[in-house]
Amino acid sequence: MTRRPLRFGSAAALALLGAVLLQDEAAAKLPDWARVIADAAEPAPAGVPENALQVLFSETRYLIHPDGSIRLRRRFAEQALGVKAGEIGVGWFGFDETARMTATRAWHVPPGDRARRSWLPPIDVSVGGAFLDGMRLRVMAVPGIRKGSLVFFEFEAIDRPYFLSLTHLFYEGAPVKVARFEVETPPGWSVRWDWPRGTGPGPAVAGNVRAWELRDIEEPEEEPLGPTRIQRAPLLVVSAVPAQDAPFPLPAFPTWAAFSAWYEILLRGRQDPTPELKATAHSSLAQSGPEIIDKVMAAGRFVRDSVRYLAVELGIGGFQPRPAAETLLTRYGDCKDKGTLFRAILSEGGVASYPVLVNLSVADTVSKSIPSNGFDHFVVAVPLPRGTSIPPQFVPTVVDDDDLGRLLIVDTTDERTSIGSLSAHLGGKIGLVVAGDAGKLLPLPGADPGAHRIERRINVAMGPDRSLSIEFLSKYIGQPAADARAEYGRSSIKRRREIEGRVLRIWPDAAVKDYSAQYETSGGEFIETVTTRHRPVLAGGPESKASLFPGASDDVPRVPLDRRKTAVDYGHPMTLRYDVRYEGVPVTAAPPSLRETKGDGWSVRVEGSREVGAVTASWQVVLSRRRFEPEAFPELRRFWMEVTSSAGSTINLAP
Amino acid sequence: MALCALLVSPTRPSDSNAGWTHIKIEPGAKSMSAAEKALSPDAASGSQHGIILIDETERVDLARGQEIAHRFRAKVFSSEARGLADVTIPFNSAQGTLGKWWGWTILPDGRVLPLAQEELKEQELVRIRGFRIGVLRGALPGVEPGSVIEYGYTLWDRRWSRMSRVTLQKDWPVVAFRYRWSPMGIMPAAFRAYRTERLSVKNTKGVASVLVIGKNLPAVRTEPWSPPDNELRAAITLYYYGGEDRLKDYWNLVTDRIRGSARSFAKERYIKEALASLSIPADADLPARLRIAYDWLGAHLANTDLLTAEQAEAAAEDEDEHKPGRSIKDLLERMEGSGRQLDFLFIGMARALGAAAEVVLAVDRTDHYLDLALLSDQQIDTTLVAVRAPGDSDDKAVVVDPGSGLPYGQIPWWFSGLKGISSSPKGARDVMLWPSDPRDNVSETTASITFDAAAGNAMVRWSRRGTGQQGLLERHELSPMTPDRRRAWLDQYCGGDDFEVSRAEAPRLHDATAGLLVECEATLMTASIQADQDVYRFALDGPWFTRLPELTAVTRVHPVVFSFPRVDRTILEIESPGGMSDRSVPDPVTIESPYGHYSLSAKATPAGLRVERVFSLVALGVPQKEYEELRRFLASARRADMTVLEFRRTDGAP
Repeated sequence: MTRRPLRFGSAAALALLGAVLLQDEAAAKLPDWARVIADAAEPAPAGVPENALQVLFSETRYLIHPDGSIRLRRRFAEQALGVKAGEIGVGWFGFDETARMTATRAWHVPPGDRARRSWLPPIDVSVGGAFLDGMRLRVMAVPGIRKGSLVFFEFEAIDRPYFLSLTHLFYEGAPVKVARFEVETPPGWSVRWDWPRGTGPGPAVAGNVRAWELRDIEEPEEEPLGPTRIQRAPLLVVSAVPAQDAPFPLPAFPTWAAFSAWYEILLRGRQDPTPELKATAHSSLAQSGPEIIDKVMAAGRFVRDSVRYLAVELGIGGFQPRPAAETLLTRYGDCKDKGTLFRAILSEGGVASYPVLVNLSVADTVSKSIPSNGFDHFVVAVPLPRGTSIPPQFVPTVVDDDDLGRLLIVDTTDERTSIGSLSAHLGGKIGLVVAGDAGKLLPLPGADPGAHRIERRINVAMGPDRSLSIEFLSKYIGQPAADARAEYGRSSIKRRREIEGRVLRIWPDAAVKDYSAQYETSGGEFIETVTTRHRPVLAGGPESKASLFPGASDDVPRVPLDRRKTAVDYGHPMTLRYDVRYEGVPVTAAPPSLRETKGDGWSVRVEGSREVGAVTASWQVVLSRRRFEPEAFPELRRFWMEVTSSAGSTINLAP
Repeated sequence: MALCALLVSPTRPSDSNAGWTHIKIEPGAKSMSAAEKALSPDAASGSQHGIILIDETERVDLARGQEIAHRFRAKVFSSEARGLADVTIPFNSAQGTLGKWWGWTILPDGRVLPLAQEELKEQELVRIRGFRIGVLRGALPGVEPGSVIEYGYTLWDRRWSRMSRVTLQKDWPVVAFRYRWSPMGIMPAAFRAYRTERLSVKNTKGVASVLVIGKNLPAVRTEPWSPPDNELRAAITLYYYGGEDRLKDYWNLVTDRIRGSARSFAKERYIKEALASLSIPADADLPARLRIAYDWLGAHLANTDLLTAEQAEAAAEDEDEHKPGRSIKDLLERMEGSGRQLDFLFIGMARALGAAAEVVLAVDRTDHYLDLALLSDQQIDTTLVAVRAPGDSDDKAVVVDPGSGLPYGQIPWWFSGLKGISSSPKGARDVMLWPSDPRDNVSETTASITFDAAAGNAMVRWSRRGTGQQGLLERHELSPMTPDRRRAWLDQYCGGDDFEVSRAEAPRLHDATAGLLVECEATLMTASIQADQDVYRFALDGPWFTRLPELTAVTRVHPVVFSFPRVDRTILEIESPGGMSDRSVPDPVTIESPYGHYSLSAKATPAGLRVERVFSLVALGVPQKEYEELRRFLASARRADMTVLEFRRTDGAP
């Protein structure tokens, strides 16, 4: 389900605005709400500001009518703090085809000048990421912005959504003085709320109006190898439910089970078999073994590979899957279409399954206590009966639940991820298992460092003339495999060039003889091999002291920590392993001695041995934690230092 | 670049005289031909995922709009190419009508799955009051590897474009390409073809139409240090232009216009005032006088196009500064103006000093090259100034960019290395904009490295100064940045991810004429030194070495194009780790090539080692056939950069 609320502007919109930014203002009186802000605003400070602009006021208001319509209003006030704040001259409001814009207004108060209203025409820009959808941005421009300018926007719309779910992200891409989210319900409604990303204030209540207000919100920092700004912004979810006997035409969700039950209604009939579907199910499952896992693998691969991802999210199609038979016929669909076809095929094979709603792109959007639509993706959970033998490849994707038993999580959308593997973007996230009234939230699996691995094998053979032949084999499992496949899929030539580049950065004088890649093994691995030849090693040359595990340290990304404020997040736990073998090397070439270091959530191990005419060695890093908060940076430094130091072993190739 | 200008006479095209360029676009076969069945993926030729079998378009421009007919047929080899079946047609039902549509998928087993016209959905992309931009979208069904897809349409659109560029070469190979354009008869129209000469492309000129036919067009590869994408693909440009019907007249008119602007801007009275500020020795010759005027301008007038963030904020705080100055009077009162105003001022000063001075129009070669036969000034990116003694030939002219901060005689590298258009009184002339000499573009880096075995890291202090083009682009990037963004940029420059940077500054940024100076202090966290080591090895490579162009690919398709010729000199002072005064002195390395020079040498000092590395790049462009030699040169230099120093314990500990 790739339907997301819109909150941010688009480059296309800004570019278009450039074309219509004509002087089109007239002196006007500010509305009362804006006048209060304008009167209280301080002048922009001298010098170069840290932020080019600040948001003085941001308010989003929902007025829920008993007939199921919602009156939306967004008010917004910004101040240009520097000369590069031209973007404050653009206000925006996201809406979709269920909403109708009813008003768009903007005013500009240049420093030391009177207020002017902008009469430029508003622009509606399509901004959805789907092939076809109704997501739009209403953009309003104010020309002539200068340092110190105050700009006010007001947007109003009437929305008739398919269900009632209120979520608000307190994020404006700039520091915010006052941000408010306001909900007015008909009398007698119960309203509950939660801040899934931490703590937040309760609402100020005035009759049927509840208002949550945050003040002095700093713009979250975004640092490499860390959470995005949006992931760090405060998020509020609100459940508004009518009194039990009050008629209300929209579905509203007092519990997650209610959400689950509603979604199940949307799924009704979507898996109905047709002769074509039955035939396809039987033919694809006929090639599999009798075990559930075999059927999952066969059906999963069929859907993943045969149905191209293409999202048509018009109307309720943003939430409801197309019929499985239609997806099969057209061979295209989005996550919920592909997931539903997968379930339909499994069903034909006598295998039950549940849909699971989850957020693929943003973390911490789901409240355990307050149901809301914090999802943008659809995967499938397959219950595994007790006693089912689970091949090791599938173990990292199995989650055990007291009520629902063991569930195997399968995502047929991502064409790069093997069935039996789960994208790191899903690992550990909270999903809603749609199982009627028994539906519940469940954390998806993702804590196994063995699920995401890079294993490299380097075989170096020194010839009688002291030249080297090197075979460099890399095996990727889990997310690294998905990433490698994505790159290879975009262009095998480019991937080859990049891998050759990596090899040639390690051994600059190598002549690459061959490159080969195996896109997906039966175990879900992506394997690529490069073979090279090198000129003879000279005594005293830089290659005479060769790195034993060349490039190993680079496989562990790192960032400066001294001034860092946010956690370092690797995205997933992982295992890295190098196995090297040097043949024909001088007797003075010594293997590394055993070395093993462990820390909080990590371990590094090096070992080696000398055989007749050869040195073998291995280096393994296991990172079982993915996240290091700032207080854990000393531990992270220790880990990095151990990685560098252990990977820095050299071998003497000089005669 | 092929020069295939076709000037279409402003007469109404008719079917009779355009007949021999005539093509008929109609649906293809609903079955796979034997040849199509036999096609298979070939990564080397770019058809790893798919191949475009037919891409043909006919466009007929009329005063009321344009008629488009288009047909596309492709074979899909892998999942990656299935996106070819996602059809998007530029279309707006308020502005035009879709006539005929056909679309289907031919499955490997021969079945045909159609996409009906009513299944196409209109999506509005932009709406501004009554103006709309929209598309029709539809997805061909059932596509799987081995399928052939086909779609086509005819449509009528009330709007037409004044200039369009059509690329013949795509990211995948194209077996057959046809494009016919019949321009509207009431306006002069022209056609240009680019990079078609080495391909099987035939351009046929009708009386009032043109037909381009391409066969077996290879996919375009992207490579580092290549010409810009615009200069890699075979393409055609179709356009209308003004009333000038001769190529030379067009550029004469453009340069006349800019000469007029320069003349009316540089009013004599103010030029005299400006010259009065200069201290020109009485015996100075013309080149010396010009240089003094240029340096005065650079030192005293700010280029508002290149202000630092601090200068821009300071200017904004003065209310009057908000109103853009338009005249030379404003320029000299405020002592700041746009790059073009500074060019015009310098032209006026140079002429007053007795030189011939002209505006030169130039293009940014990182985006596209100059095409004189394309009668459009939209391709021009900047103005420069050419000065010479009266009567001197063009090749003696010195081309400068006042306000750029560069020394006299240099222009930003992205405008150099190709031709510009000079606006001489005798008309427009093309002039070569030569790249600067490598000796004018020198970076000097000095670094000192000390080790802290107890902490397991190394302290590094280093600074880099650049002359000429060295650091120019970096200055342009850094100047307008806010302090925090600038800090992050400099942190990365000074170290990157393996360093904790404690100081990263560019202290001369506010002085436009000063070259880039960066000063860094950082801790190398991956030094991996331990107190109990007997032997410590330290790899020389680090941010103190200017990065070598990374050309590691074994094969090459395009020529290599560098930014500018240069010399990079680095002096490293490395202190032996405590108790490890026994250090190896690596053998010197010297590499000579037609493309540059590399040397690395080291000598022992009382404290440790002093390493000197010099890298020079003298070539601006290297043809594809010489790639391997260039790659070997860079690989050898890279190998030497990886030299490892070895220190041995001498104090008896641990």
